[in-house]
Parts: sequence; structure tokens; C-alpha cells
Amino acid sequence: MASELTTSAARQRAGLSGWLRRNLFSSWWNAAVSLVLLGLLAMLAVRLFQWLIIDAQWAGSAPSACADTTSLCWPFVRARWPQFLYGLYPSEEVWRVNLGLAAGALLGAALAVRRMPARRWIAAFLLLAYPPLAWWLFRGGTWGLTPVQTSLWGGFFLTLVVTGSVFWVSLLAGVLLALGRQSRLALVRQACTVWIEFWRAVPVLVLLFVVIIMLPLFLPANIEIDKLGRAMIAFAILMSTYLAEAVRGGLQSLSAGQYEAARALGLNWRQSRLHVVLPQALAVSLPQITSNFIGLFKETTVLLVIGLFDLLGEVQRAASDPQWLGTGTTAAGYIFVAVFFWTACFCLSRASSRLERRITRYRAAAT
Amino acid sequence: MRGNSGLRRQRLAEGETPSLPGMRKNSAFWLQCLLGLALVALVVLVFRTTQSNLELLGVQSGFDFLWKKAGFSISQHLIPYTEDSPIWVALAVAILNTLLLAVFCIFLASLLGLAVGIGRLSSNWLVSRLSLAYLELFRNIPVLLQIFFWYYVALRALPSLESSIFITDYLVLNNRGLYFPFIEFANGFAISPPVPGRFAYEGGFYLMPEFLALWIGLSLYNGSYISEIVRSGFQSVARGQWEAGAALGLKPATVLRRVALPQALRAVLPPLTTVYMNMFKATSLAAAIAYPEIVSVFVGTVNNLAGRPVEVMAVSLVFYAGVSFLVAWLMGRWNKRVTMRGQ
Amino acid sequence: MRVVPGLALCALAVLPAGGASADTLSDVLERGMLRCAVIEASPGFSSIDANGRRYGFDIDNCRTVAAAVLGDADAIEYVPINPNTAFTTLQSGGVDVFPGGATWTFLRDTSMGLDYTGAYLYAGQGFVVRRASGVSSVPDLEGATICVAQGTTNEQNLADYFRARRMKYSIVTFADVERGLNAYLADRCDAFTTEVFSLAGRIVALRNPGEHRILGDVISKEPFSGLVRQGDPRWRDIVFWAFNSRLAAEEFGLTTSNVEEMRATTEDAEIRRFLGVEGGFGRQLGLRDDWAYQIVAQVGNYGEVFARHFEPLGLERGLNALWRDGGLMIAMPYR
Repeated sequence: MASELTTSAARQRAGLSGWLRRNLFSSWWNAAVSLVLLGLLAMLAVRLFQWLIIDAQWAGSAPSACADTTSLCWPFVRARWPQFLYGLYPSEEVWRVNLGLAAGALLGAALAVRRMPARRWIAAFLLLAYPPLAWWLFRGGTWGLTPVQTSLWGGFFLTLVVTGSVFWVSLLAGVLLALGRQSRLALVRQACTVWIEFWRAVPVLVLLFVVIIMLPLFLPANIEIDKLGRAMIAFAILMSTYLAEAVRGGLQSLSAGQYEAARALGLNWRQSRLHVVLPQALAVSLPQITSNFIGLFKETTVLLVIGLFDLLGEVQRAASDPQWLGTGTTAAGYIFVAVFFWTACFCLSRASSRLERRITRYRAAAT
Repeated sequence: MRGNSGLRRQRLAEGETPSLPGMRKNSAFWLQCLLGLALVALVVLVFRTTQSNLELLGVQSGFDFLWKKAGFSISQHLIPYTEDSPIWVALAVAILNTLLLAVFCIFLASLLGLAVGIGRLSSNWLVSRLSLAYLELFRNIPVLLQIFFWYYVALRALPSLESSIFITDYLVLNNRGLYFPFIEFANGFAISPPVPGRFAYEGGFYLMPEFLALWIGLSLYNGSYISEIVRSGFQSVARGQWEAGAALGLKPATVLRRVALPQALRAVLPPLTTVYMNMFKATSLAAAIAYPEIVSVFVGTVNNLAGRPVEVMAVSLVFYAGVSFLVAWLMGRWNKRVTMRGQ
Repeated sequence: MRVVPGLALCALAVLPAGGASADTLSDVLERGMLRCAVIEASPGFSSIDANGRRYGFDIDNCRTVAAAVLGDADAIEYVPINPNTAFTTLQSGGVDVFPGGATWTFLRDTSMGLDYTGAYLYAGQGFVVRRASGVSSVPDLEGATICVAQGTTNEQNLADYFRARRMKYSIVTFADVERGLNAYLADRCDAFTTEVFSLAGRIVALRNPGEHRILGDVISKEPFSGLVRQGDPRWRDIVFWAFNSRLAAEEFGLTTSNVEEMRATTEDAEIRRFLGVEGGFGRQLGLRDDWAYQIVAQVGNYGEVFARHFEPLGLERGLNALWRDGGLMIAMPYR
């Protein structure tokens, strides 16, 4: 129990040997377990090293470089790199993607710097102006930009666009749904509850099929939404219900005193929600919100089932090229995607728990 | 995508806001009437549009297709099914396949989660670190990618029929699946072992590679979430409880079983249900590989056969929603009982 | 519809009335783009080259319609679809035409809300097996595991064939042909089945085509036709006559290289009507008079298109030769 605590204490006391004795060989039973595990681990490490590095094929970038179809084929990743990044986005227009994503990353980074001047304005820009601007840049069609149809979007780019846009819309809708679920009006409350509880029960893949196939039937013919748009609507429906539940947890954690205080100050409903209730509720539910964000990020891989090519979809598509076909190629592609997702999700969850600690400290100091 | 537990259904009134100044009861009533009308109008509008769209397209509607002959084959069926069976039997087959997968996954994921969760708390540094490594590795990679890895890489590397792996004499593994003896109902009760045929093993029962990939993938992924729940469940049991147990002269295993486990269970149940439900919903990923569960059979095959998109989708939605609500209700009741007994 | 509360009625009055648009032609003209559904990665039919450009028989079908309607064979927005959702995608709109190898069957035509635009390719369902397996005909496959794409006529033909002969088999159904074939290649199945054109194209493209064998017998006939949504007869006519024009061009001896010259010099009245020199046939369809000329000039005649995509795969015209050469292809007359 509580191994982390004892670890540092032991290390201080008796150096390496003491630490080993304490943590690995404290009893006969423990020693046996440790030895078996060490043996297995060493075997696994050797096997993995062999598979990933030594037996793998490295040189070249043509299918002929992977004569052996079963051992790992890294040239595949190199050869299909642009497709993994941008899908079929026309290569002469790729600068638009780079520009848009770089701007987003820069704004995000600026927000992370605590002493940034005009941080509030940057946040407002990122939340309100950036998404439509980026969409316009990617989609084109007006003001001299060549249109690029969404069916050409793919790879890493599509994964980011879908995650970002869906999260953006869902956060707003989620907050509204959470407030609606607490409404004093019975009808609003019931409607929001039914909506949330129903969609929470449905798998994302089923909802994707439902929206892609049925939405056009529900809409009059003069409204057309392309496949990417429909897929994002499906994701947003689910995501907003999840976020609504997260925010509701935050709202419930507030004491009634907060509501009363807001009223005593003479704030009306909108003012009290905007300035008193929501900032606190959102801060409390932040860990939930980030874990939902990470979930969404991972879930975008499902897009490949309905024929949209996110990062995993592009890898899958490229690996089915008859010239490349083979388990070694597929495995290399999957490992590449896995490393990407793992790094991103791991860093995000670490960042989130740091933020959580900071907020806890801040709140503790405030009360 | 994970929602937080929906089971700790707190009274809605708890978060209700005190009534606002300046708004009389009357105006709230009219506001609701207005909203209600708008809602009805929206529903009517959507219904009417859909109807006229379908009419214009000449798409037929109704559930009569469920009684038509299916005309397609399903490789894994737990109940008798042939191409001549009606579509509703195909639906039942698909539902059973979904449930079979879900039950297998829940079992394996729970086992893994329990082992790893306890491992996290081990005093052996290596065990606790390895448990942590498992958690971080599998939790941060999309589950679909993991399933693909097992299906397209790991299981594809299995040997073919001629060089099958014999785990025991009657448990055979090759690239067509995992074969084991099974009860044969055809002529009385008899155990029929798998025997090699021309193309594959025959007799007995087998788990197809698609099933194995989903089973392994979903279990490893969700096991990581369960391990976290188990760990925090045990940590929620106060240290004093362990010490009190020890002071009474109970063996650690007895303390675990009689003292810690019942208490941990109470903390664990609501989030565990959420993970189970997520896992059940995630069985729909089978449509991405070729396991014949409800999405694959219904949305994939029947939809093209019958040409009734609205009905086919409705059946799938109702199935998932129905099971979810049933489980939520059962777990809610069980949760109540466990909580009451603890007090 | 029964009586609806007042507010609902107001809402209905304000919002536009529902109903799918029945005028695809003006939609396409207004958009300046043809929305054409394609199935991805099907050698011979639909592929993407290293520069991201699409080519193949299906793609040329899209280009044929675009050339006729818009005068520009490249004014196309491709909408990638899966076979298992192809029909519902078509029903639900967002696509003007799907020329990608859908078999013309009674039930699909009568119950799906779709219209067929005339057969443009005759194929049959065949099987590929590993040479090493020793299978030499379809009946040899008794007890075998067979991979197939989901929601296709192939899945149903397979069931019909084996059931009629009381043969046992097990089936693994994949979302598309590509995944099904890849599963077969990875030895998940003993055979893979789809129509022979696409099968041959895919096997030739493999690294080791010699290890596989396409069985000589086919178990079905698969007449491929373009598909449009039901309820727009003029649009169906346009797609039908656009495809017909390629056959007519071949009968007339018109090719991409000589069509310009022929338009200026020919005395044949039917060819003159066909190329829009006289008769105003284009306007009858709501198109420009040079619609067929644009098809031949930009895409080519049927023989050229076939040769471009299928000859490299070692496929012969067979049933798809012109009627006068012993095939089934016949152009409807222009008069």
C-alpha cells in the first residue's frame, strides 16, 4: 500500500540496496513475484526490440522496400506521410491547413502562459472568432480562396477539425442543456432530461449511422448538409449530453448561498448565471470536461466506419493498397497512430490533472 | 466519450434555483405553454417533412419486412437460423451475438480490472508500476485502434489449419478461430469435439477471430478503466478498517473478503455500471470488423435488403436504449439495496 | 394531418414546406458541380493516383454525365460511399448520380426509391481461391469459409446458390469489397466472391497474382446500371442518354481524336443530330446542343473507356462488346 510514499523514504534511508529490499524483495513471496516479472519483462523487451527495430525494414520509400510482408515496414509510413497528415487535401492548398492549425496552436499556447497580456481577449478570440475563421480558411469558396470539398479532408487534419469543432459546439450546447435540466420550468426540465438520458444510452456508431442516413429525410430538400457536417452533428449530440452531465455535477456542487448572494446583489437570471454560477460550476467540472474531450478525441477514429478518413482511416486506406498489403505494413501504420494518440492523450490528461490541482488550490485559498 | 455516472440520480430539485424576482407564476405557465407548442410544432414539422420525403422517393414504410424471408446467411448463430428464416429471427440472432460479446467482455474486463486495480496497491514496486503502465498504455489509445491491432495484426499472424496450435487436445487455435468441444443437440446430448475437415475444423463450437479481437480489445481497454475504479474503491475504505480487522486477529484475506470488499463495492458500483454500459455500447464497433452483431446485421445487411432506413434505425436505437434503461434500473435498485445494508 | 394547435400552424406556414427537390438538373446547373457517388479503391473502377486524382471506369461514368450536363468533365464533387450504406445515401440525397457498379434487380428498383438508368456493363459473380487449395470449381467449395461484401447482391446470390445445392459453407461479411478481399488474402477465408470485373482488377494488382485463381464459373448475372433518386424522370433520361451516347459514338466510329473533324465534315444525318449540328436534340433534354460532342471529346466512346481501364487488367469485352460484334451493347437510335 501507498508505495509512492515509502519509495522516497526508503531511498533516503539506505540507498539502492535498501530500496530494492524494501520494494522488491521484502518477503520470499515478493521476491519470487519480482523475479518472475523481471524475467518476463526482459523477454518482452527483447522481443519488442527485435520486432520494432532489428527485424523491421527501414530503408527506401517504395513498396519494393518491404519485400517481406510480415515484418514491420517503416518505409510505408514515410511514403504515405502527406496522406496521413492531410488526406486528399490538394497539395498546393495545404498551406491553408498549416496556417489555420498553426494559428490555433499559437493562440492556445499564448493562453497557457500565465502572465500573457490581454489574456482575456485572446481567449475571447480563440473561442468566438477563430473557429469560423479557420473553417473559412479550410473550406474556401469565398474571397478568392479555391473551394476544397470536405470529402477531400482527411488524416490528422480531419481528426483535429472534428475534435475541435465538435467540442466547441458541444460545450455551448452542454451548458445550455445543464442549465435547462435545472430549470424552474417543468417542461424545459423534463424535455432536457429526456433528451440527455436517451442519447446517453446510444452508441456513437449507431447515432452516426442514424444521422448520416436519416437527417436528410428529416430536413426539407433545400437544406443540405454534407457527410462531414452530419457526422459532426452526431458527435455533437452525444458530446453535448456528456458535457451537460459534467456541468450539472459542477452546478450541483454550488451551495444555495451562491444563488442567494447573486440575487441579493440584484443580478438577474442571465447575470447571475454568467458571472456567479457558471464560472464556479465550470471550474469544478473541469476534470470531467477534459476527460470528455480526450474521449471525443479518441472516438473520432469511429469516423472511418462511415467512410470519412480520419488519421486511422487514412492509415487503413493506405494499408489496403494492394502494392503495400501485408501485416507488416498495417502494423507499422497502427503503431504510428497509436504513438500519436497515446502521446496526445497522455499529455492532455497530465495537463488536466495539473490544472485541476491549481484550481483546487485556488478555491481553497479563496474560501 | 464517457459521461459521468447517471445512476446517482440526485433529486432534480436539489439544484433547482430559487424562483426569480419579478416573474409571477402566471407568466411561467404561459411561457411553458408557448414552449410546448413550439416543441409540438417542431415534431409535427419533422414528421411531415419525413413523410413527404419518403413518399416522393417511393420508399415503403412499416415493419412488415420483419416477417419476410431473410435470404442471407449469418456465420455465428446461437439459435437455429437458416437463409429461410424470417428477418426477425435474424434480428434475434444478432441481438444474442451482441449480448454474448458484451457478457464475455464484462467478465474479462472485470477480472483484468480487479487484478490490476489490486496490483496498483501492491507493496511490490514492480507490480504496482506494471499495473500503472498497463493503465496508461491501454487507456490512452483509441479502442477501435486496439481492436484493429488485434484483428489485423495479431490474429492474422496465427497459423493456418495445417499448423494449428493445440492448447490442449481439444482446444484448437488457428487463423479461423478458437475451437472447442460443445454439446450437440442434434441426436440427444453428446459432446462433439472439433475435428479437422477439408477447409476448417468441424463440430464443436468456435469463437471467430472477429469475436476474439473484439473481446480482447474491448476488455483490455475497459479493464484499464475498471482498474482505476477498483483502486479508488479500495482506497475509499478507511485505513482504520484494515487495522481494525487485523486487530481482531483476522487474516488479511479474510479482512479483504469480509470487511474491505463489501465497503469498496458500495463506492465502486455506480462508476462500474457506467463502464459496463460503455462497454456494451462499444460492442457496436463490431460493425468495423466483420462480427455479426446488431449494427452489422441490421444497419449493414438488412437495411440494403429491405430498404426501410427509418424502421431499421429505429429498431437499433430502441434496442440500445432499452437495454441501457433496463440495466440502469436494475443497477439503481441493487445500488439502493447495497447502500441500505451498509447503513 | 389532423388539427394542430395555432402556434404549430404558424410555424408550418413560416417554414418552407418539406419535400425533396424534384429538379436535379437545375440544382446541378446552379451548383456548377455534379455530385457523383463513388466507391473507393476498386481497381479498374475507381482508384486514386499518387497526385490524388481519381481515375477508373466509374470515374469516367461520372465524367460522362458531367460533360453532358455542364460541358466540363471535371466539374465533379466526388462523394465516397460504402456499399453497405450506398442505397440509403442515395435515397437521402446529397448525391446526383451513382454510376458505381450497382446490380439492377427487381426489388431494388421497385422498393428502394431509386431509378436505374440503363445497364452499362454486364458482369457475373465469380470466386477467387488460392491455387494451393486445389479448388477448381464452385461446387468444390463445400464446407469452405467465404468472404463477401455486406449488403451486396453477392451476399444474397451466395446464399441462394449454396442453399439450392444444399452445400454447407460459412460466410464472413465485410463492410466493403476491399476489406473482404484483404481478409481472404490474410487467409481468413478460403475464397472471396464478388463480380468478376472487380475481382480480376484486384487480383492483377496484387504483388503475387499467380498464387490465386479465379474460378471459371460464375453463379449469377450482374448487369450494372447507374442509379438516380426516384421522382425526377428528366434527370433519369439525361443520365440514360449520356451513357447511351458513348455506345452510339462507338457505333458511329467517333473517337476522342476524330470527333472534332467529324463534326465539321460528316454528312450522316444521325451523326449530325447526335453531335448537335442539327436537330436541337440537346435542348429536348434541357442541355446544350453539343452535349454528346462534349462526352466524346472529353471522355471518349464506350470502347475507348473500356480499353483504358479494363484492358490493362487483362479483361476482354465479351458480353460488353457491341451487338454487331456478338455482345449485348446496343445504342438506342438518335431520331
